[in-house]
Amino acid sequence: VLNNERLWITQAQQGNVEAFSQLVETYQKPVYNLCYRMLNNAGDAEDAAQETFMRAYKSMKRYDNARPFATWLLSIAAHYCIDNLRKRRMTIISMEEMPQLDLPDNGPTPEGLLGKKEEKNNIRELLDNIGVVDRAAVIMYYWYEYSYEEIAEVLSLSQSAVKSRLHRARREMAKRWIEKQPQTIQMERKQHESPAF
Amino acid sequence: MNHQPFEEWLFADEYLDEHERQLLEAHMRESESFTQLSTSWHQVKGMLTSSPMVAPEAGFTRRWENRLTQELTDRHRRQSMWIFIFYALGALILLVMLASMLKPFLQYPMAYLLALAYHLGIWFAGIEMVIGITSTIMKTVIDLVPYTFWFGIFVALGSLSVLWMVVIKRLTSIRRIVV
Repeated sequence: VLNNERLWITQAQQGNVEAFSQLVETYQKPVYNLCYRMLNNAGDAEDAAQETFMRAYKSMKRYDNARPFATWLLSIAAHYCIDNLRKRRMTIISMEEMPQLDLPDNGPTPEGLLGKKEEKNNIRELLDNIGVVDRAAVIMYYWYEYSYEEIAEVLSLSQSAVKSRLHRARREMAKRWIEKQPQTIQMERKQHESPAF
Repeated sequence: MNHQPFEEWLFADEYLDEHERQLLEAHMRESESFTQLSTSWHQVKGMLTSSPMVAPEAGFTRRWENRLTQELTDRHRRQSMWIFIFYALGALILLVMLASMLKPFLQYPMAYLLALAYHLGIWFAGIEMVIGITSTIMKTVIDLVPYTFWFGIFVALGSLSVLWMVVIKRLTSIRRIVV
């Protein structure tokens, strides 16, 4: 796969659209997932992922072959989403009034569907309440299992900045979760009576 | 109560040694709010780590290819439009310049036409005069020089031409060109 990837990258750098299409096919899921988690909307995520690949295609000649392709691609996606969210903040339109497009779930049972949907909404709400750069760091840490160094490279930050942003995001999410479900946490705490670390 | 060092440990997501772990547990026994925070964080962490990656709807690559084709077509159209605007502007500038040059003519067309006819008349008269002088000189020269002289000149020029061609051919032949 890596050899194929190298070949596709080389060919794409020479302007071969088919080779770049292979890269799109390979990386569509991680790029889309990042955009979806960042923007919290399927339609916007599709647009952002498409735009990410478009920008990558146009900048292929500038791509440094020494750098992992996935990191480079996710860096483009993350920066695009961050800019998009910052611009969106400036608009007067309330996000509450905008229709939220839901992705079709693949869960087979109604209970599973309900649980998944609820969890998806919880994650969406938690991520929505932290800063955009912090959100990108959280997504890369938990969905892509990137190291601090890799996150720092993708987001053009220092490693200490990544650590501090992740720390802050975790605390904000935990506090938000307490505000959202205080009873559940109380009950669970009384049941277990031990910290879960 | 100050949670600061314990919050650092809780949210750093790094390995704690036995001593740190005991201190953290002790702090949790003392502080209900901190225990609540810890439980909450571990629930959030569980959700984050168990949530799968979301895939786009089928046909993402095809949609991207269509978008690329559309973008390239748009770009080509934009370039064509700019080229057209460039040439149209150039033509307009030339037209304006031409109009400014033609302005006096358009104001007094009759005077310009008469002037043109006058100048043409002068040029034709001049050309006719040159032709007359040249033919007179030629006739005089031909009458003065005998026919045998002209014949000799033609033969000499022909011989020189043949000699010139032979020399050129010899000089450019492969054997003479030393590599």
